[in-house]
Amino acid sequence: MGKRHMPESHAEHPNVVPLIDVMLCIIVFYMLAAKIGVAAGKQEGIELPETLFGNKLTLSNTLTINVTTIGLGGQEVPRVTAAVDDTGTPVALDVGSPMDGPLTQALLRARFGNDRREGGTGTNADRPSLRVVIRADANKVKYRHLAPVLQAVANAKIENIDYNTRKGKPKN
Amino acid sequence: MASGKRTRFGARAPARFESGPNMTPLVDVVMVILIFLMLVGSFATQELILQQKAGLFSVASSSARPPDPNQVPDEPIIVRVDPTADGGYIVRADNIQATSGTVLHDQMKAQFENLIRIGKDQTKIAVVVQPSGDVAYGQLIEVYEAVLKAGFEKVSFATPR
Repeated sequence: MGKRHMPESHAEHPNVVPLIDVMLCIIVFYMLAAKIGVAAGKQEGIELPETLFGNKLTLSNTLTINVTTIGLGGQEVPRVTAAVDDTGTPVALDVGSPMDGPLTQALLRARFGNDRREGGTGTNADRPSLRVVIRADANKVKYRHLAPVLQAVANAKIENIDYNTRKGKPKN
Repeated sequence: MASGKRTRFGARAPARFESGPNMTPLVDVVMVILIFLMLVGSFATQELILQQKAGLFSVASSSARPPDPNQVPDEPIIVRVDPTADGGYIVRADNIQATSGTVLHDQMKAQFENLIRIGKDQTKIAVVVQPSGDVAYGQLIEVYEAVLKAGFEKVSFATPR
């Protein structure tokens, strides 16, 4: 009678536990990286203009302002959203008057804290290095829609403005 | 793991099996998710920013930022952008007329090199892009990129005419 062998299923397997550990770590990393884009206040569905030139987008100490348009009363009016509260979700803001409209007030709060004026500590602390990232739709948004937003940013004394674009392919 | 070694006296030691949970389906699924996320990440377009290093230039006095009294600014180069009937745009400035970003870049670069040649301080040369209200944002960014790429550092937008 022949020698009896162990069944194949019980043969010695390679230890896959470290492999699973590493893969799970990478998956968690990718899922978090994808989540950062949402938390940064980006509104989906905005067709960004293409550029070849530009710096890499960094999202530290920034406030993203999304600008697009909606039809209202037969004409296109700007629709502005920004993550001005603590949830990280963009909320709609009426531009109103660039001097003291809701957008300007929200920007003043982001720049100077809850008191909306220079000086203060804690929740009233200033953020002099705050950057505003403008994400506007390349085709829908005209300059007459964007200009009041830029004026509101200037009136909130935010000096650093970045225009968000996406990297295009060189034209030959 | 099976242990089928013989003992010193020739008897077979009892076999021990370590039958843990079957990891193969888990590894399969995790691998698929991993490859999916990596592909999504690599196909996602990279985003860039064009930095504005000068404040909004106001044509009207109502929202003008008061100039710094310690620093008298140089006269900026005004670049006017207007839409054309065919959906394009035309850019006009001193000695400059262009209808595309490439042409504008070449002309602005020549102007920038001239200014540097006559001894102007690079950091003091300001360019103000002054579009009319009907110019699309995508076209403005094309103009803005062309001016930045030409070498100018302080480029800003003006309030609409």
